[in-house]
Amino acid sequence: MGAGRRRWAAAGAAVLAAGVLLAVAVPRDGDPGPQLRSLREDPLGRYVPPGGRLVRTDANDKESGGMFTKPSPATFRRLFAIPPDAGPAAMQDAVDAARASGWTVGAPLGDLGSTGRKRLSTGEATMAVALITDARALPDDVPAPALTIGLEHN
Amino acid sequence: MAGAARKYPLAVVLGAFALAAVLPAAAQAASPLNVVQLGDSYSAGNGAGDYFGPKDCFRSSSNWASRYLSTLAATYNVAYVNRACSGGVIKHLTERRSMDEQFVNVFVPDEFVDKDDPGARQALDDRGDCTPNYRDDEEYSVTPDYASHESGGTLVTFRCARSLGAQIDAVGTSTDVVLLTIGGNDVKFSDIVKQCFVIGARDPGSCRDKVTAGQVGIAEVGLRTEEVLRTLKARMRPDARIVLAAYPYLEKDPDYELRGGFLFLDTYAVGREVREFGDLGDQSQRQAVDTLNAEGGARVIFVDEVKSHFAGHEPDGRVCCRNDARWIHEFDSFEPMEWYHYNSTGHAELAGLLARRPEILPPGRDVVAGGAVDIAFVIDTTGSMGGSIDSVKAAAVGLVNDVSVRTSAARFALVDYRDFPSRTGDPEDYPAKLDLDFTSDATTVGSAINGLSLGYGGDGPETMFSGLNTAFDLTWRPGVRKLAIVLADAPPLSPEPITGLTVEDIVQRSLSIDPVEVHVIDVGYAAGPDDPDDPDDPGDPGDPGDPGDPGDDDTMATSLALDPVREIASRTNGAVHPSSPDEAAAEIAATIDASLDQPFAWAGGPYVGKVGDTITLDGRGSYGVTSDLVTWEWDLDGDGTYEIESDEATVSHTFGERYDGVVALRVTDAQGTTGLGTAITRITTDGDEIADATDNCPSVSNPDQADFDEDHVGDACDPTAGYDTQDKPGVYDNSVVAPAPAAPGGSPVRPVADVRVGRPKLVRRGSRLRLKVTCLRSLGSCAGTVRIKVGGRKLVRRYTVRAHATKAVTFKLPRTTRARLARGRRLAFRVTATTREGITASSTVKLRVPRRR
Repeated sequence: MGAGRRRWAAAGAAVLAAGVLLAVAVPRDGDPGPQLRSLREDPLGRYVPPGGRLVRTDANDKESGGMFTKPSPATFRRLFAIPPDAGPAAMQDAVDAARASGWTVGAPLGDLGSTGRKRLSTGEATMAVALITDARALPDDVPAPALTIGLEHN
Repeated sequence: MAGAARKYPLAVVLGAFALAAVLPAAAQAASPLNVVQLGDSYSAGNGAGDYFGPKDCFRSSSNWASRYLSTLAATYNVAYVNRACSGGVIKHLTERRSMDEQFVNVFVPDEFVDKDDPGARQALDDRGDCTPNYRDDEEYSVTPDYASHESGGTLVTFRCARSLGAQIDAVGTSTDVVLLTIGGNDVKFSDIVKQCFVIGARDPGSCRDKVTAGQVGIAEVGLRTEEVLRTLKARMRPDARIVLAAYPYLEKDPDYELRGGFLFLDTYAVGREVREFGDLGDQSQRQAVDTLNAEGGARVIFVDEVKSHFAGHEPDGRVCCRNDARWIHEFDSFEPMEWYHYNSTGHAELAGLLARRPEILPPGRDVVAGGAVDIAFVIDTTGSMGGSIDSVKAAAVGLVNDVSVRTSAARFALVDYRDFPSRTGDPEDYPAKLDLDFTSDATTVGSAINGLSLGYGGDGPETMFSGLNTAFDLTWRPGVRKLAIVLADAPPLSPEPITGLTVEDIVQRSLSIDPVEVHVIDVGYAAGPDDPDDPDDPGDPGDPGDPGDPGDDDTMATSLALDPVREIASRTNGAVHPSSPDEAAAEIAATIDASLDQPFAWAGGPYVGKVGDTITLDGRGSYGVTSDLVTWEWDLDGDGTYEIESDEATVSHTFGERYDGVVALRVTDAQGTTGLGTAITRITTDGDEIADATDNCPSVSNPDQADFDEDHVGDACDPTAGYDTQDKPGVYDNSVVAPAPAAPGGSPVRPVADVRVGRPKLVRRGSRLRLKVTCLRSLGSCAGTVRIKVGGRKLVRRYTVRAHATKAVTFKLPRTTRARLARGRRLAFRVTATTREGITASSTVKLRVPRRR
């Protein structure tokens, strides 16, 4: 084996070792609490808009507060990249999906989105479907428009 | 019609009000202004100190709203209610908020009771662990969990879940202004602060993740904000105002970067991103406000100049530095819930901003038309009450409509009471029953009253106390008049068996609700119509109580049991009103009429302080209705004796001992009529509301009970609180790689990370070099090394200095150095200070041994 190959092999081994270390070192989330679980398991928590691509999930379990943490309810918000001209249709489809899965959805709030509520097995929850057209409110690698579906336990 | 009713027919009174409305405004001292604060920690008062209210809410009597409203005292009689609570999210404005849960054990000296044993519950109530401190806001749901039998008794464990009412419950048509900040917790401000700024927790990856999550959430928060503001507007008058204040930036320096992470290659522009995030939030809120203002109704005012006004006064997140001109707390407090919230200056500055926005104040409104009232009818429905109840049934709807016309916002509730089935033997009986919760709908009230049915029983003592207690359990609005109108023909059971309720219990419960005036319409009155010309007649308005009036021979007066009724009525500013059964409705109308004419008393508060504190009791929210106020009297311990009488609305008082109760304010107008208001007052050893027995720092006010190292000693009392003073391995910010330049020779070394090293000094005739290291941190400690180099020799000393402390570090000099100094030589010392964050700076000083004088 030549020197160049040995260097490549060493580099590969280093990357592999780093990957293994990373896999071991990165903490895994514990089991979600019942409130977060019921948000995740709601049909709207699994819904994907037509042509949409899930790009981000923010799941927060119920927090009772602590040293640097304020008490907060369980929330489950997903961000979908959607086709450039699909904004209003995607929002309407999400609202229809919410209604179909038992959410009581209020009147649309302009062209920004809609909110709704539903009684889950763990208690009352609210939802918001919002269309994001301002790229500044999106991660760098997600183009506008995008759709968020946020579920929040009471 | 009874005398009182003849003297105050509603139509005549209404006519007088119409006249009053066209009189010049000068006839009234000032305009009432009902202000309600809603929202989160930036509203409640985190950072301002002087906290009161339900645990973890951090309501402050020195917050920006209180400061702003103080400036209005010359123009308005401000009644201010703070319902904001730290950690509040948008939906807590409209929905009940679950706070915390605790398990409490009580011991019952009986070996064989089960968990549902009433004695166990009584023992729990007596302990008070699961009793709300602020009943109009806070609630405990108590569930017996299990019982364990032990020798000599039983240990019963209760689960107590604490919650707060929907904040919006405090807002109604009598509300003139709502002040709020909201949305910050929905986008998890506290997570951003933790992951982007807190040493030991921050790192670029987590910070980026939290800021991005916040940015993505802003669209949703905008929707929810618009929705909740619309709900708020619907509850308020069209001329009312909603003031939404923006948040400041969380970081002063746009160039602040956080570095580290995997292979130490990650860099995140925290300053820029966090500030952009703040701008996005403003844009979202502005959009919601614009939409709502286009719809009409109560106007929403967005105070969006907060960021520009606070420019340069935000926290400095870099480890090197602190912003000495900050108006927002950095990590400079033992209350973590104060970090990154307005400090005292910040609250004052925001108050100043509001003062520059005159449009916040609605047009002045007439005093008389401004009254709002909550009325609970508490009716004895035993058999002997038939005639009286028929009278009330016939007049109910008209009565409700008349009161509604006279007031800006009237609500009515209905409770009826009989007796314990175990006493009467009739299973249909009950001590008290809520028939109707508060409503403004006259038809609903009429239906509820008309739906009352009579039980058996005569006019022996009844469970009036249970009836009143049930009424007190309702959600009474803060800042409005409150009346309990008891219709009865028999005295109360006093003390009441089974419940154990006493006169004092009823009085104190009333007073704790600011108070609820208790008026008793005594339809057992059988001596014919009273004499309106008799000033001692208890039926005359303005003669509340008239205890011991020899001219009265009403039924209850003939009984010793009347004393409790009189006492309750008089101590709550109510009265006993004799009436014949068929005039009951007219007497109720007259009673309400007269009450609405009484001055409105607002005792301010709640007042929370520590023993020895001088507290300003503020009655400026009070006002006269038919004439100006002339006297303000204060009962400092709720016993009915007024210790302070003043012709000024504010007085100062030093509380010399602990107290947990109410102070009462009785105001008297020029016509001699009185109004009564109360304020919860807690004077404790340390000034917080945590009971000494469970306080982890009983000598210092620390309402959040922060205990970072979980050693059961609160951080406020703990010299080794254990806060991280080092970043995670590999994490640093851009201030570290660009340390402050070394000070020129001769000046103190001022390197880094909140450490200052003083100018060195030769001591012990040049055998030692001493310098002082000062830790400028507010928490934890500073540590590192100090090195000196002299004549090619290097000496090193480590230091660890507690926050806010100074420590001397002494070097023993080498023999050659000592010898040269002894010869009077001036030597150059190179001093280098390093912190454990790795920040280094140095300076050179030239020293020689001072000559002896």
